[in-house]
Amino acid sequence: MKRKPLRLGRETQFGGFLSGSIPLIGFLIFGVIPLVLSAVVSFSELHSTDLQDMEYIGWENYSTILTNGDKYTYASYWSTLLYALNAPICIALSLWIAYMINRSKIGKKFFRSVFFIPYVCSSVVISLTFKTMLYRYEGGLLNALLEKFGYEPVGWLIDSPWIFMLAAVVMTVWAGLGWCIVLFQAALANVDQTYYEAAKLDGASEAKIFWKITFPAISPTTAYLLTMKLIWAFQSMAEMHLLAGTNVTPAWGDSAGWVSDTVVKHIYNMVFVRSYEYGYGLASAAGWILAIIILIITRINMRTQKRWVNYDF
Amino acid sequence: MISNKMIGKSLPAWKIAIKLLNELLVPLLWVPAVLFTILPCFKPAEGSNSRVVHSLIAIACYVVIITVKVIHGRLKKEGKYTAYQSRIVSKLDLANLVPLFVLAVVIAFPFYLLFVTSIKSPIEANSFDFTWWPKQGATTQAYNEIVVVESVIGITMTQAVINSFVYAIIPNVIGLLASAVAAYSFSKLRYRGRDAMYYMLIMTMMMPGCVTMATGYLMFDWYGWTNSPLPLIVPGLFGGAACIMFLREFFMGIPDGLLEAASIDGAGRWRRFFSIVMPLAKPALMAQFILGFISSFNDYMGPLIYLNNPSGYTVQVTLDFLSSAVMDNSLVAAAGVLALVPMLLLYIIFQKTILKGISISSGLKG
Repeated sequence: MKRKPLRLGRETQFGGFLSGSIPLIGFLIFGVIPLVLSAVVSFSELHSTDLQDMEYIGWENYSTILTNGDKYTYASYWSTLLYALNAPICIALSLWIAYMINRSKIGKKFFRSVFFIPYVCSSVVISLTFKTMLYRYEGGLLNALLEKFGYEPVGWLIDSPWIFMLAAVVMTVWAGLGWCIVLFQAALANVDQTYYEAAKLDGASEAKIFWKITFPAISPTTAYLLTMKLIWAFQSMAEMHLLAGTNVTPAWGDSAGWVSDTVVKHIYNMVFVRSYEYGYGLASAAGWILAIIILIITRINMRTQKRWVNYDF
Repeated sequence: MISNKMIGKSLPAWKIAIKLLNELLVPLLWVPAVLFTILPCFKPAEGSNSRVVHSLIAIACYVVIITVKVIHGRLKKEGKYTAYQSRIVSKLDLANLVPLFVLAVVIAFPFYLLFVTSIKSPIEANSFDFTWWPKQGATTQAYNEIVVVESVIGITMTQAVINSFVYAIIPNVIGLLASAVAAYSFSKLRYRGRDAMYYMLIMTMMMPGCVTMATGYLMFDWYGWTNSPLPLIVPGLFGGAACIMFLREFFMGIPDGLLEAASIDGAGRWRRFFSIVMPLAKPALMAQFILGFISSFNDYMGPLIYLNNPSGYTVQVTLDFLSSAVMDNSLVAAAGVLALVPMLLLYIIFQKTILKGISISSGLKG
């Protein structure tokens, strides 16, 4: 019997539609509901999980945050911006390391494996290791080294908000290197070697080769990393939460207590620790404002990337 | 080994010395130079002149480095000088190796500290004096205490590891299957509204999690799930948008002819999926599973918010609560090692898959 050749996908449409809609159903149940709820709740006051207690108050939550009505909430945006500095630092450092690994004649795989280890560690393990073994005031590694060299110990997490922020950023950079290095290495290995040969023949210096060939060639990767890392940095919470502890007012007192509170950590506090003071309404509004800030920064990021990212290589 | 052929006859010994200094001493000298530049920024202990001494050492290092570099730069302009090469020195390439090595030590050192603290006796682990290794003898006391005995938190570390595995494996296996099915339908099946559905799905990835964090809790409370692990497991069962995007891209690469041949042989849609597409996509699926598993296992926020019953705690929350409940660093370190070991083993076994998976799922070429 001669069969007519089948065109793929001419069978009943229903099965395909059903299988394609599984993730969308999941998103409808677990994504859309909290999203709509969040939009509604952000215009009202709600201090318990009982939705009947919701009280409509209009734009008040947003105006409270934007006009510095609550100094902790307002300040948390600045500390988030400060903390997000870890993204560009991490990218610059990992580019340097990836470049060195790529040039290294021995132990390429070894170095890459070592630098990647922190990626598989949870933020809890990393934060607690840093908190109890490196940043500890008495008996911590850093202070032990300082004392050995004849300096006074530093209270890394308790002395001042700036040192705390520095400690947090250093830790986050340390933890984030591996992921960036892997992507940079893949990009570096992909650069066409003929460009290098041509440049060497022309007698270009190493620095010139890097900035004129290597950097433009891997700029799509750099741009991708910058976008993703910034989005993550703005939404991170675990590191700060673990380093500063759950106490709402940090050790250095009220005056500059803002630094350890990133927005997401503050949202967590507003909902789960001090829900009578703040509640779900303000927390949702804070979340929306952060989302808009992330959107704006990502837009700016994309716009400026047109100037320095080169997709022609 | 210095091969004689390569040394120009007119090159005097001091020029070779400068070259060797430039390649061997300078990279090494950068380490103390940087170290002693940073140290004087701190406040010296009373009666200590370390700030002056260290500044002087740093300056001396910089002077030597700059002198060698300047002379080297001058000599470089002479043609014969550059022709000279020592094979071992250039193979070592210290200028590259030393910073890499130092940074690798910096990366690895916290893990060493974690491990060493976990085998210290409680007295030593909590003393105000820092010790590089357990001077009072190594002990597994801390491990005994948290693995077998229920800690203050109300759960043994063994149970916590099992919980973590269960919460991480169920949504990742089923979710991966759901993602694969969806990706297959988005790439190889045809039905009305397919592309619209796919773009809707991609749109969901852009929604930042900070918006739904607070009201997500409200929703799960409304479902009555807040004291159970269900909020950690159920949303993952429906597959993830990023995973679908990645798998769809992969399935697109499978030639249609292969599937057509199967369909001529009488294989139905799902038969084609399970006996052709899935086996071909095995490496991609494996990478997605491992990456998903790692991030589920290491998740901290979800378990922190939703788990209230000690017997259901995951490793990460147990570790966090343990560190604030007990003042014993050796216990915390031992728990940290236990939280780390499964992931490290996974990393050692599947290193290639993980590294490849990361660079592929970024969607960049290479």
